[in-house]
Amino acid sequence: MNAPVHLQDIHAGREAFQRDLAAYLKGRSLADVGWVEPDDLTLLVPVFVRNPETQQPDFYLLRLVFDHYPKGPPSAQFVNPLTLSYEYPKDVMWVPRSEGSQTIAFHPNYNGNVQLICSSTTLEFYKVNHSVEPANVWNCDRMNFISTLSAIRAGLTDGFYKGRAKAPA
Amino acid sequence: MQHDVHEADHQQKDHDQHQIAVEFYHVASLQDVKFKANEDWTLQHTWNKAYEELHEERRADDHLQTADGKDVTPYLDMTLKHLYDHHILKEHKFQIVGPTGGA
Repeated sequence: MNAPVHLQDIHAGREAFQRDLAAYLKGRSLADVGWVEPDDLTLLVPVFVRNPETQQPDFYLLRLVFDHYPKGPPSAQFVNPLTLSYEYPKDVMWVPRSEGSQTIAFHPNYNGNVQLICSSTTLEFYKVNHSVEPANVWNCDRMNFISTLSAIRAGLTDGFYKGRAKAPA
Repeated sequence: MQHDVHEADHQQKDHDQHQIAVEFYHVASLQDVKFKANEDWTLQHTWNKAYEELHEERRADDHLQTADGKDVTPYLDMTLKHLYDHHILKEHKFQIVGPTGGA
């Protein structure tokens, strides 16, 4: 099946994001968990993944935007940490490469026009009209932005993570 | 009498040595819980205990993964000690997550 994209609602998104963020932090500060909130609809999350060849951590920066939240999942994009934006193919190295997961994939240039973290926990997944099992459709009664972070983290574990994405030669 | 006290102390120390601090994060409710588990408990038993501590019902399609994202649902019949000794677990922090799809 295909699931619709919920309408953008900045007011609801801001309120739900702040509510869920406070519930997650439980009195800790953003600095305590290493996150940055550049505005009240956006969260920047550093992601460190052990490189299978070097055994050293590779650094990525994930940007979540909550303008369709909570009825829809947050937008999730890996961005260039210097520009805080993503431009293909210039910034392709800032997207992780993962192979073998049955639940998520990371496409630097899906259908030639968008970076897609291919998971039912991201807004872009619905925007590209990706097919989805009914049980996996975003459900705000039991899902929140931690679901998105958990799904992404699950796609970057040992065995799946293969290093940085590369632009085609 | 002194021997009994000594024996009780010994048993308590032995018991404590086999206790592991575990941590579960329930993503749906944004709650976490920490408790002591026996290293001989299976992961399934420990997971069941986490629901009790969280006062949450288990959903049929819940999954269990480590805090760093590794799916441990295939290892539910194994003990915590076995999983740690065989490097399947690096630490005892878990997340209870709902179903997702993609790829």
